[in-house]
Amino acid sequence: MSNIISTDSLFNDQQRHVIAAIADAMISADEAVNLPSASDSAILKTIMAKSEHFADRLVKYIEVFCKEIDPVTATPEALLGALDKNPQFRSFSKILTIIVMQSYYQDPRVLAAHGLAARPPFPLGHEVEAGDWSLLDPVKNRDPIYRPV
Amino acid sequence: MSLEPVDVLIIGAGASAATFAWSMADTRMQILCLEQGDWVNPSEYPSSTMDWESDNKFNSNPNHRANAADYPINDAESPISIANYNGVGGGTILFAGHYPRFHPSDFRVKSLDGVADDWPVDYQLLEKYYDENDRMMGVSGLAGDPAYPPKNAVMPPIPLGRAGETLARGLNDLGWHWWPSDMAIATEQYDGRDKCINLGACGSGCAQGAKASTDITYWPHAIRAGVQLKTQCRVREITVNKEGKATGAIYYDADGNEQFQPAEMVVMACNGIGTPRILLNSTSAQFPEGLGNSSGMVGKNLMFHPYAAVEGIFKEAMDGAKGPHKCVACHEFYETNLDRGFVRGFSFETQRGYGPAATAMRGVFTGRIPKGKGHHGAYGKLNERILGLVAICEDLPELHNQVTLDPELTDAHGIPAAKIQYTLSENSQKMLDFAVARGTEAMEAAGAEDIIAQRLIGNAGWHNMGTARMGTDPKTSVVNGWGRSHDVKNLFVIDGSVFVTSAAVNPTRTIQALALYFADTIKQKLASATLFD
Repeated sequence: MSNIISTDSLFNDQQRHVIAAIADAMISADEAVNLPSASDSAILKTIMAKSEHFADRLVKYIEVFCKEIDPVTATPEALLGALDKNPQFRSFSKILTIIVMQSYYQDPRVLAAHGLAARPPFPLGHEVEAGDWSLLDPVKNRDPIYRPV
Repeated sequence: MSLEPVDVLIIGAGASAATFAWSMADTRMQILCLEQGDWVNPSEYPSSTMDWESDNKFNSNPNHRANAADYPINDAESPISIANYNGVGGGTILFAGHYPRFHPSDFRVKSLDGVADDWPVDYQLLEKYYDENDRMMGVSGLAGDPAYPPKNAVMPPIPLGRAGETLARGLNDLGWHWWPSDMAIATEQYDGRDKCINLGACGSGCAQGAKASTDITYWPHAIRAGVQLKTQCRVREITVNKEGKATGAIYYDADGNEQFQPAEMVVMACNGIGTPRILLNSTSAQFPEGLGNSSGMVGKNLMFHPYAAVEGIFKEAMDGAKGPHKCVACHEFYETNLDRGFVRGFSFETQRGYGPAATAMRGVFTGRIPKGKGHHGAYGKLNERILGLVAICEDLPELHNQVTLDPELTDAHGIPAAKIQYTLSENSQKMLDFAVARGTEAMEAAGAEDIIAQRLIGNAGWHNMGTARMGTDPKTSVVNGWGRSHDVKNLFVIDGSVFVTSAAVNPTRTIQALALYFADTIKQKLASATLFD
């Protein structure tokens, strides 16, 4: 978790808007199933914190990317097309895809909407069925399969 | 600055070191371990945060993790990148806990299959050390596996869950072997540790303390018995005197000051990358090519386990990330069958499922979940519906696969980084192709609607072996059958570097059994005053 406060962000407002636009293009809201956009303020905050680790590279990518397309006014389809179809943005796309997916799928609202536990694994853990151990019976009836030495 | 001498100086505090130190403690000798990393505070493991899938501090790739204890590894010339953890407990902090033994045939590869070499030890000799290590670590499993000579489990097996049951039914339909995995995970309260509660985050550290990392198993016992462990001490080199005897280690302490720790015996326990790195960096008039390297074998014969992955996507929900990653092992293709077109074999272990973010990334990067329109619906079809198998392929030793010192890259103390040069052999390539085909067959038999196959997992260099190999011939090996350097009679290597061959299973249980055997042998020879003969 970054402890950089907002006024110390490694991104300016324009860069932040670009990342937000790309995040929304990748995962948009679906209110019918209570799923927010990836540019939702809480999720975007996580995205920006994770992006700090790659700030030097992302700032350079954003500068070049904005010469190809205006991310703020382009449609999501056009934005994703420019990002994913141009080889010069391959690393940019990969970094942002990972950050957006990681940030989105740790949000409690997203997890709850998908029927998943909206909490960290620890300390409650999970239940896992022991399973049907009689499935082992055919294997138990086999002769040894290791080579004797 | 020179410190008070110790009897035994161990370098590294991972699996082998902890095991060895505990065993040696009953000699009442002064034993000191130097570890470049630190103790992990279990409250810092990611599984107690919402960010548990992406906390970089516990990333298995040291180049990405870049913690203070990490040194860079140049693996640009390897299709497999290194995975490790530098701290007390070593790789056991991040391992999945899958804990199989070697097969008896794994120690007789030359005699049985005409390739590589035989080990100077065998399964029969190691059996009682496997048993002792199982008790210390706490191993869960089930007796009766036809893939092994009879062995007992300390605790009941971990649950099959829907994933294990689904796979088991498929494997039964094919008539293939499977068995619940032997795991270094407590399924009952054991030795003051609580039982597994299926966090599913084993690979980033077990906050529950159920997974048997050596910081919570051997090390507390060893320290209570008088072993000293100093952390944040990065060893640069092992020194020798003009008689060619090891005299101690030069290291940088937590404040960055250079120190010299004298010792009567030096024991290397930094595993397959770290041990040769330090030995190669320990040059002298007597050992210009690196300490103990008259054979030229230090750093050579690097073996990984090339991993293939086959994942099925099922209509019904599986377990997702709930529970330990591994629950079922399949050894149907373990022993050599030349009809397959390659020598030696592989084992399958399950990949039970993925967490929410990992599911999304898996789906997006394999084209099954689009970005943009259709994302949510496609995600729903993969959510908790992925079940996988990974194939652990036996790697054969080859001289050109090696660890050397990087000519340019260094760590924060100026010590040369490790450089990896590795290529997949033709045998490995054929084995990987065969494993993918069989894994696909298994997933189809289990009822998968869609299958994702990955012929080689790149970020899977968890097992690093062979780079200071054991042997009876000083011309072709670095240490003898009980870990003592052929060249330096008070220098020992006790980690996975000593492996002669790699087997087709995870190495840690065998590393630890060997460490117990080495300690036992050293103690016997100390008693008979023949240790340095």
